[in-house]
Amino acid sequence: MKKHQVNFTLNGEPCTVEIAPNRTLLSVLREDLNLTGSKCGCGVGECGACTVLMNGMAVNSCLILAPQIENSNIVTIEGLSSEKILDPLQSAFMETGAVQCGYCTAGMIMSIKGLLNKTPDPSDEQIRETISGNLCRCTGYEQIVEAVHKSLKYSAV
Amino acid sequence: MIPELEYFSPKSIKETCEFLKENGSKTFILAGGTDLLVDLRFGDNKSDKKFILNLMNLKSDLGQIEYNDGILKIGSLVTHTELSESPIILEKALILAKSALVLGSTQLRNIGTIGGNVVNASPAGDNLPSLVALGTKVIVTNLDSERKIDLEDFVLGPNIVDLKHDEFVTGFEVEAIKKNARGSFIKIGRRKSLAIARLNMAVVLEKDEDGYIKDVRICPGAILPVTKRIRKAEDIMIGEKPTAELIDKAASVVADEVIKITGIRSSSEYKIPVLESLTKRALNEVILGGSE
Repeated sequence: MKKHQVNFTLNGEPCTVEIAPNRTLLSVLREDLNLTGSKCGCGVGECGACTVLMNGMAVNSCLILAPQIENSNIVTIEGLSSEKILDPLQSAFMETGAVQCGYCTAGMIMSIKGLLNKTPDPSDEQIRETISGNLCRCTGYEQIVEAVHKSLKYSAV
Repeated sequence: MIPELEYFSPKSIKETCEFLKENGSKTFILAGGTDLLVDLRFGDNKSDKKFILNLMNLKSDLGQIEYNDGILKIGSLVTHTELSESPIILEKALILAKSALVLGSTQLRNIGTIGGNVVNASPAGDNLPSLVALGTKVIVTNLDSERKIDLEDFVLGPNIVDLKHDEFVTGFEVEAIKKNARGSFIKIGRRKSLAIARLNMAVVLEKDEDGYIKDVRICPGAILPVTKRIRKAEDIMIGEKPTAELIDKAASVVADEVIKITGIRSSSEYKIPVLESLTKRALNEVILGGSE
């Protein structure tokens, strides 16, 4: 099958891949680019474990056909930390116990990042509404909401 | 496994139409992909289609929302998030913003489009009752011409629409809710998010200066194979004062008309009383104030 060259921005850097057009963004991230932070939970956009940011908005990468990201700005969980410095949200998640098995975590954090891009100081209701497309079987969501509020205190230096 | 398809990404409406004229019968049309990619991955793959055509380069042409003289013109590539946040939709067609907001999840709304939702034509499609209640016309374009068709006539059956191989949906004309009218949209699902509707209800009601009902649209969703207004219930309300008895009667007519179309089904024991109740709730809402 004819391969397509796809040019996009990945975690702030220009990136080019050559891929068959029947690949999803999730499979390209994990298999071609070795960015295994985004997870495959359901493959049909119902669990949110694959959530990444596309042009600042949270999307299910399992439902994005890879050639569609041409000229887009993609941010994955790996793009949040630099060297050994974690994003405040990542630190807060660890401290509040919002990470248990960890499978939903990357997608959960990216969904929240999508919210914070638009709403820097969200209410509980806004947080819960935003992450309603991310399923967590471990935490019951309380620590996740707590982590968001905690992280905002870190950011407000 | 998504089948091997040749990918084509046109840069203009004309290029799209030219491609569809040549290859439309062998082409999947891709917008947000939230329904198509699931079908491709888990469908029976017996289709002999060879191409997948990405519409998203047409976003600047087909992603606009305009208002003129009582009509909202909505491009087919407008996402559900954009619908739910658009100041003009919130002002002129609030029930459409509401239905777009309960659809899917944040991630699905960010990428899924109004066009894709309509063409997918699920009987449970959340935007369909709002769009039907707002008298929506579908704009269908091919290389030579453009046609407009009432949404109620455009959907022919579950997941089947009146779309020929050489054409595609470029937009919608939606009637704004008038100054003296109010709308209501209610969804019932098993969860508050990521839930396929068990039942939807969209109602728009206009009163005259003396408080008599001038116009009413009643459109249930997720209960008929094709989302349609229940005109028999609307007709008994026109010209009347909105009393509790009238609302009860209208709700009863809605239930009867639905049963005439669907027959009694295993879900009717649950759905029919809920349908009556939802009709009353929505009508009460628009009579007492509701959403502008």
